[in-house]
Amino acid sequence: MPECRGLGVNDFQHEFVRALFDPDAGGPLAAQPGFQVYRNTVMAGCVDALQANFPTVCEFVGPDWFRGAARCHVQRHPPDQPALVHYGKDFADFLAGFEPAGAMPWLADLARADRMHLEALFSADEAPLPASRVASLQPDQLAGARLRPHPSARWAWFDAAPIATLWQRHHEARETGAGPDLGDVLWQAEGLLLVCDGSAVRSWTVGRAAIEFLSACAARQTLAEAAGAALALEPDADLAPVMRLLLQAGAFAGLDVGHSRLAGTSACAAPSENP
Amino acid sequence: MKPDHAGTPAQGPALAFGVGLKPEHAGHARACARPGVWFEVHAENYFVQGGPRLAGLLAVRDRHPVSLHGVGMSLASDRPPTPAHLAQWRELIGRVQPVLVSEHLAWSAWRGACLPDLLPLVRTRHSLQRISANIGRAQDVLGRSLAIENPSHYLHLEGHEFSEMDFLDELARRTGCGLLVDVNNVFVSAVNLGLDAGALIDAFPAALVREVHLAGHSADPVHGERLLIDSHDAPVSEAVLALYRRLVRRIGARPTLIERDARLPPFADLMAECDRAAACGRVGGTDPQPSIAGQCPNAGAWA
Repeated sequence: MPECRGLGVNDFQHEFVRALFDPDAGGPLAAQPGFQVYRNTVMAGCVDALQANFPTVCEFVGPDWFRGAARCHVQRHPPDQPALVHYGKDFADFLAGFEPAGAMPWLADLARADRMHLEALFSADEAPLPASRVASLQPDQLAGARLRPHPSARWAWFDAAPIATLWQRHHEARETGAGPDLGDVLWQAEGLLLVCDGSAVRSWTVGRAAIEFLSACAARQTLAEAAGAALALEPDADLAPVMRLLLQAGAFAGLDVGHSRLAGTSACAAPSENP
Repeated sequence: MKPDHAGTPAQGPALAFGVGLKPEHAGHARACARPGVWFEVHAENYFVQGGPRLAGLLAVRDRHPVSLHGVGMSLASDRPPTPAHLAQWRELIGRVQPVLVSEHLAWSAWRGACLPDLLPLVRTRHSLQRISANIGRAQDVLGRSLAIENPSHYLHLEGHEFSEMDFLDELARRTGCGLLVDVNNVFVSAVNLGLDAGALIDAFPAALVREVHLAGHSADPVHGERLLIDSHDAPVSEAVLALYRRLVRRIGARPTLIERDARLPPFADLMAECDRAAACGRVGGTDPQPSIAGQCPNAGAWA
């Protein structure tokens, strides 16, 4: 029988947690066959959550490799909140430094794409900004207006690999149950944009100008400033189709033309949303 | 410390047999016409700002009663539940307006790390005081009374000053919480610790029981039937149904949930599980309709 008498709640729990993560731990708790049930359940709960939250990474490397890597991650970064739907914010950085993943330098970016999807899926619902709202701006309002990205919009530029295309092919294949066809993928840098429309997360492969434009809008820059930032990185970009795509994607939720901000669904300015 | 029950919903239709709701079954659940059916979810899976999963739950909630079951409040920790965790709970309760709110007599948080399991405690006067304070804190913030569930046990721990039943009874007396009897956990614990399952089930005071859980278990791959695991990956065993029959014959019907978290079968199979459990209550010629309002003495404050 374990000798727990006299231990305070925190002493007992400290001993318990130490033994949970140390497979060689001895002592009265770890010596019982039932202790392994707790070890297995805790680890499986964390690893299952990572596997659910990073499905594309898992498909690329296979479940055995993935679960091995996930176990290492759990040892270093256990969940910091009980809601495991959010677990794994450090997983991409972990993979970037994970030696066995050295031959797959793009794996961390694939994990970032999975993470973007998770964030888009669980973000606040809001009606997208109709394109007509931007079209109706007076010419003198346009340069100083500010677009507010949709709460679910997530975007990133991936320098090293066609992450957007790879991620999209896998995501679509998962929906249809077929294997992803990667035969014609060009190995090039790409931007990925994800937006949740309320029922599902939609994805777009976008250029550098779109990514830079969105980042500038998120930083509360005016349309003129955001356009300047986009053109600085992609001087030949035609911003009109970029704007059309972003508006059609529902990537924005609000428009601020100076003193009053126009909300996405109503013609009335939202009074309480001054930045 | 006792909650004032502010914000509890008006008493809805009687709850009979429910099932744990998985996102894959949201459409079937919404369309389900079984009288008295209700659904339960793990609250933490819906600690999100929005999106289709939450919308699916709210769509089910528009048609059926929904219960929120927590796995992460860590009530047996040496620290109170975090304000951030309780704030998420409170927000979800506001959105869902659940008919029942429940948690476990267990801990799962340690110094900022969350361990996704229901870890055991040594039942002492000191831990009783600590856990009473934690339950009281949670009930105060949530404005709801909790039903506390008995977890599965896998370890012999030295130093208990209370039986589990006396401990739960004392928690209820001090905090006004009710109990959620997990019959499968009673069975699993009895096998693992060499206890009498019938005596354990007979010890739950009828007046405190607000909800019952039924689930399947499995034998440990190494130690076999001597070490059972509360795996929720199989139909409810006959032995557990026999214990359930013994419970409802003594205390009357209660809202009863079929839990299945792994190897998810078709929705119709879960409904068939409800039928099996319902048959237990009909033995002897009566057909008790489980209901919070009719059967649970504590329900007065909820209604």
